[in-house]
Amino acid sequence: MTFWVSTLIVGFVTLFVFRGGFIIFKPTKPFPKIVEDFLDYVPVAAMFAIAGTHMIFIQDEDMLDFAPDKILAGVVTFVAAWFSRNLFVTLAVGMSSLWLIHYFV
Amino acid sequence: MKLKRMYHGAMLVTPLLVGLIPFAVSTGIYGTEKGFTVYESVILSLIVFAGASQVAMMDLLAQSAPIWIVVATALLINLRFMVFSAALSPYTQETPFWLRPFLAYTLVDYMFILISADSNKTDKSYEWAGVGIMVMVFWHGSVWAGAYFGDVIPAYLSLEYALPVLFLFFGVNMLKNKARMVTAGVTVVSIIGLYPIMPLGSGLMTSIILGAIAGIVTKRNLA
Repeated sequence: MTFWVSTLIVGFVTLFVFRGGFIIFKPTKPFPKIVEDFLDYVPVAAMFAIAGTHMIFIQDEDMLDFAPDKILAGVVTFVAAWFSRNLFVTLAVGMSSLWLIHYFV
Repeated sequence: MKLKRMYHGAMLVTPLLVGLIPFAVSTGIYGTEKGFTVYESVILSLIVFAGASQVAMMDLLAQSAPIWIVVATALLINLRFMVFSAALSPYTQETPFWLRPFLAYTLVDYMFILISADSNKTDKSYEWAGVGIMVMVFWHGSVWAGAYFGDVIPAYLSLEYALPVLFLFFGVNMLKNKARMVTAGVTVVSIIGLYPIMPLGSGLMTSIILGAIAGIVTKRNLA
């Protein structure tokens, strides 16, 4: 139930308001500057927020606990992404560092 | 002529598939691991059609967050499409009415990168349609493949970890100025501090907002 309601609301608003806002409809007013500025930073924040929740914690029963293996591999991944700027290098380094940590620890 | 323009658009997508396919496959695998059926993962993908919010929604739904948190978080992540929509509307001057909903549906991050790359703001309706068909087919197809084959992949491979690796990669590539680095730093610190203690998964949304505000404040102070 929650799945359907939330999926439909998000899908509807995303399509007709966000994506279609200026393409299906043709409004004349631009956004206020503050909104535009805010939106400039949301994607970066979203990427790091989602990566963070998956790289820092592990779900332990009902509790979230820190996951040192994932955090360490995450730091290595960050360095790989920063210096290589290459998706496959980053993916290879990130995954193999986690496997190595699991192998040795 | 229109077909030729669509073909041209479709070909523009090919170099981006190396990023799109692993991302979509990981999204599908993740859904299966979180207990969603293949059908649910594909429906979510077809209706929402945006990787980051699909993942965030699956996270929150799996921890039984209330509807308003799921919706608010996903909409916050999807707000950027409004900026894309405004920025790309000059490229749709000659788009026929019937094609407009389809162009809107396929307005994903890849579309923004490809269409806005041409600074001549001439009509791009059919190139856009070509990009859209490709992205749509490969994205939903790969989500399906990931969801379908997700439970035959052995758990010790920890393949679910590929997903945050990709998010981190895309995030790092956005770190083009100091303000964005501050955004990233504040977001991560806030996730560490708030995500485990805030109720119902609301820490995710809160951290994104705090990170974005930190970025604006930094930019204003530097300017």
